[in-house]
Amino acid sequence: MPSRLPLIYGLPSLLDRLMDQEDHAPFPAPENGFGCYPPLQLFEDGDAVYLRAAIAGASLENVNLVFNNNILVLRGMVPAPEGRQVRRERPTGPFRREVRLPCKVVPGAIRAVMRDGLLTVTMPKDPRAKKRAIPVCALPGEEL
Amino acid sequence: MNTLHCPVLPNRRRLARPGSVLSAQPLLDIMERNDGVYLYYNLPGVRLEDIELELDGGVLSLQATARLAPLGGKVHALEFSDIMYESTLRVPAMVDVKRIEASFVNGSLRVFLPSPGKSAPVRIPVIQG
Repeated sequence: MPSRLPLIYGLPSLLDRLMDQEDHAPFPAPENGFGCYPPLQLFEDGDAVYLRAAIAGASLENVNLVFNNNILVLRGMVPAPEGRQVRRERPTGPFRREVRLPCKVVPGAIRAVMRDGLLTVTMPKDPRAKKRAIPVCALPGEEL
Repeated sequence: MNTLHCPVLPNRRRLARPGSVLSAQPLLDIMERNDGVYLYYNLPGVRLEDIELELDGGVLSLQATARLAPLGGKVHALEFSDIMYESTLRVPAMVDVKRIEASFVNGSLRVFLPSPGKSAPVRIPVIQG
């Protein structure tokens, strides 16, 4: 049906807009001067929330992490190579990304490791944020 | 051969699929200095033992695989994943291939292609025709 075509073809951008809204996106839209770099992975298990960032060319000294109000701010600098450029594809210069965590974590227990251009941040969950099973049992002799 | 290609599309989210292995050319910088040409390949998440670099017939071939630890639990964002990097590059004939060096630091592979050493100037006699 022709009347529905614009909605179908506009779906990708609509989804992008939805995911850019603060309530839905773990990564708010970047501020001026910063692109969506570095690419990230964000996942959680029962004990912790994990963040991975692919930042080739940066050492641990080039990366800074700040945690505030359940938002992790990752910022840093990838140094540019020296010489006369013949070809430039690698992103260099300053970067900054904010990550809204899906649950409360323990700020003092956050640990970060950098290896082979991959930053891994482990954020143990606040015990109150951990899921716990609530046993359900029927009382003897009672019917709902 | 070695066309511009970005393995990661930064403006899209949840692109990669868990467990999938993409194949792409790594991002590459080529810089020229007085002593030669330097290549910088971005290989985040790749371990040194998973890099194969070979020069054969004037063609420099790179193959490297990033194998990340598996994701556990609930995935909220997946903007990159396991990936196999492949690149081939024709090396200029003037490069001193015996002195090519490569080093891997912070997920970035640097390959040095030295230019031949300066030879002593040769005087060319000019004769009367």
